[in-house]
Amino acid sequence: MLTKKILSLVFLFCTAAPILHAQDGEKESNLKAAFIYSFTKYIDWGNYNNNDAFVIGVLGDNTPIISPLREIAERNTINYKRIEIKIIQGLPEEKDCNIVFISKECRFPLSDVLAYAGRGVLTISEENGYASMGTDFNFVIINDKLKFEANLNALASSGLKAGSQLLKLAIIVSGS
Amino acid sequence: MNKILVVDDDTDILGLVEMLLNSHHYKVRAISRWQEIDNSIDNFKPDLVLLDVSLGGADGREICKKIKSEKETASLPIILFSANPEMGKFLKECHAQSFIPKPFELKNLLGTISHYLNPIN
Amino acid sequence: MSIRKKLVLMQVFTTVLVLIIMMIVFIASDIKEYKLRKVDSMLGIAQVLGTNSISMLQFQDQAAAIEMLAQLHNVSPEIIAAEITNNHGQVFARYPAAGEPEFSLAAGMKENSLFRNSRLLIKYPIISSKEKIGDIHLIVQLTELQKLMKSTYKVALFLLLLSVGFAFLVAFFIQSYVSRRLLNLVRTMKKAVSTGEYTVTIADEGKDEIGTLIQVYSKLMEQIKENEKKKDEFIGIASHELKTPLTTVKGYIEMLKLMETEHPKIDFVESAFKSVLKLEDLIKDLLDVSKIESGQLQLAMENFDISRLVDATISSVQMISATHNIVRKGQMENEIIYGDIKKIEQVLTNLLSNAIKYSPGEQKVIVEVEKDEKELTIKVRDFGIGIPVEEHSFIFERFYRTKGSSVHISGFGLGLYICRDIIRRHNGKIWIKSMEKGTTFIFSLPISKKTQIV
Repeated sequence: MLTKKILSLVFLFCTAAPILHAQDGEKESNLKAAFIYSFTKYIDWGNYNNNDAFVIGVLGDNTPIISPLREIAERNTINYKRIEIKIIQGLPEEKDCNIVFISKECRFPLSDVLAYAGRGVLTISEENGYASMGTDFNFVIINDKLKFEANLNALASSGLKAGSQLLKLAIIVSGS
Repeated sequence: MNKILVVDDDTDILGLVEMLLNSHHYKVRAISRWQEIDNSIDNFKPDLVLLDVSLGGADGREICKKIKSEKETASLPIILFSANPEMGKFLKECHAQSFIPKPFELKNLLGTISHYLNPIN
Repeated sequence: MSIRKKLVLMQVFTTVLVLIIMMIVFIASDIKEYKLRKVDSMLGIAQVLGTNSISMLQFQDQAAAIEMLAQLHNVSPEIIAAEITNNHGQVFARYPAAGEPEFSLAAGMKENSLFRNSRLLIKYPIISSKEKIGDIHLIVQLTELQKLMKSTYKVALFLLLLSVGFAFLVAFFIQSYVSRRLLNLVRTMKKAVSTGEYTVTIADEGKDEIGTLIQVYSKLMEQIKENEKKKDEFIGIASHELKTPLTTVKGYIEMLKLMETEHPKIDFVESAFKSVLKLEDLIKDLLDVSKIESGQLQLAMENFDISRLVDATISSVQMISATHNIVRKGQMENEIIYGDIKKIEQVLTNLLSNAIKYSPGEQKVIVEVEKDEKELTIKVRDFGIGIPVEEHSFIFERFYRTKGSSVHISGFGLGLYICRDIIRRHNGKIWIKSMEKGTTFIFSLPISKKTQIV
C-alpha cells in the first residue's frame, strides 16, 4: 500500500510537473528533442549499431518529450536508419536501444537504469546532478537557457565517442 | 717700205686693217687661213706680223711660239691681236712683242706697229 | 611652333597617353584580382566558420557563437563585423553587438559577395547534413585595398612624371634625326637665297622623303647653277662676238673722221663715233661682269701713285666732257698704294662719268682725296638729281638702274657692280652719301703695302 502511494506520488510528480509548466514545458521538450536528435550527429556508435532501426528509448510514460521525438522520428533518419521511439516498460529493454532518455517522469532509480545501460547505449537525463552520477549527458537550465552537461568518464565507459564540436558546448562534468 | 703680214679669221677686220695700213704706206699681205702663214712668211718675207689669237681651229699663241722657235723667224716681231683683253698676259710665254686689244684705237695700232718696226729698220 | 617642338610634343604626348592607358588597365586588373582573391579567402573563412558554428546553432549556444565571432575579429581585424542568422533571418549571434548598417543589406544579398562603400559583404550558408540551418555574414573593411591603391597611385604618378621627363629627353634626341636634316636643308636654302650662291651641297644618306626632298633640292640647285653658268658663258661669248664687228665699225668710222672735214658729213661721223664708243663701253662692262661671275677677273697688282692717277683720270674724263667742270679739292698727296692701276682707273672713270651723267646741265663735279693712318679715301661729289635713300642698298646690284628719273639714263646698270667688286678685291669699301643736292660716292683703299688681296 505504501509503495503504491509513493509510486502514485512520483507518478503525480512526474506528470504534474509538465502540466504545471504546460507551455514552457512544451517548448523545452521540443528543444530537448531537437538537441537529442542533434547529439546523434556528433556521436559515433561504432560497432554498437547493428540494428536496422535506430531506437530511442524513453523512460517515463507520459513525458512530454515523447511527442516531439515521435515527430522527429517520422521525418528524419539517423545514420540512414529509420528512428524508432520506444517507451521502455522494463529496464532490460534498454539493451535494445541506442539512446535511453531518462525523463523526470521515470519511476526507476538511476543506479538501476545505469546498471542496465550497457555499452553502446547513450544515456541522457534531465535532472540536476544526474551527469555527475553517471549519465552521459544531462540537460540543465542555466539562466533560462537550455544547456547540457557531459560526463566524459561515463561516455568512455559507454564505449561511445563524442565529437569535440559537441563537447565544446557541453558543461563538462566529472564523476563515476 | 715695210711689209706687214696680217692674220685674222674675220675677213671684215682683215679688210679694215689692210685698208688702214695701206693708207699709211705699208705694204700689206692679209690672210684669213692660218695654214698659209708659213707659206706667206717664206714668200712675202714680212717685217712684222699682226696675229689674231682666236683663229678658228688654231691658237695664235701657239703659232707665235712656233714661229719664234724657228731660227730663221726668231727675230720676226709679232704683235698679238684679240677681243679678249686677258690675252695680253701671254706675251712673255709665247715671246710676242706686244698686244693690241679689239676694238683698237687707230693711233694705238699705228703707234705700236711703227714702234716695233723701227729697231729692225 | 617649330617642327622640332612639334615632334617632341607629339612623341611625349603619345608616350604619356600610352602609359596612362596601360597604367589604368593594370591598376584596374590588379584591383579586380585583389578583390577576387579577397572574396575567395573570405568565403573560405566564412565556410569554415559556418561549419564550426553548426553545433552552436543546433544547440543554441549563442555565447559560444559570439565568442567565436569575437575571436575571428581578433585574428583578422579587417573583418570588422560578423553575424550568424538562422533560417528565418533572425540574428543568432553577432559581433560586435551593435552591428553594422550593412547587415541589413546582407540579408537581401543574392550573390555571396558584394562590394559596397569600401567594404566587402560576405554571405555564406551554414549547411548541416545537406540542410541549410542558417547563414553567416561577414563585413570586411578594405583598408588594405585602400592602402594598396594609395601607394599604387603614388607610384604611378611618380613613374608617370619620370616617364614624361624621360620621354622628353628621348624625344629630343630622336627628333633631332628628322629635324636636323630638315633644318639643315632650310638653312642651306636660306643661305642660297640670301647670298645668291647656289653651290652649297648637302650631304645626306637618308632614304626617306626628307632624303628625296634634299635630292630634288640639290637637282634644282644644279639646274640653277647650270643656268647661271650658261648665262655667264653666253654673256662672255656674246660680248666677245660683239667686239669683232664693233672693231670694224669703229675702225672705219675713225678713218672717216680723219678723211671728212666738211659739215654736215663730219658731224654725222662724229655722232656715229660717239655712239660706237658707248657701244664699246657697254660691251666691256658686260664682259667684265661675266668674268666676275665666273671668277676669271684677276688683278694685276703693283705699287703706284694714286694722286697722279686721280689727276690723270680727271683730265681724260674732262677732255670728253664739255658740259661739266671737274675740280680736285684738297692737297696734292703723293701716296703710293698697292693695287691694280687699270682697275682703279676704271672705278674712277665710272664714278666720274656717273657724276656727269646724273647731273645734267652745266655742273661742277668735285673730287677729294683724303688719307689717314689706315686708309686712303676718295670722294666724288655731284650736284645732280641725287639718289633716294631707299635705293642706297640696291644701286650696287647687277643691272640696277635708278628708277625715279624722268631722263633716260643709258647703260646696263653694271658700272657700280663692277666698281664694288674691284674695290672689295682691294680690301676696300665703297658707299654713298646723299647730299642736299646730288650725291657723294666714296671709296676707301687700305694704305699698308702688300696687303693680302683676293
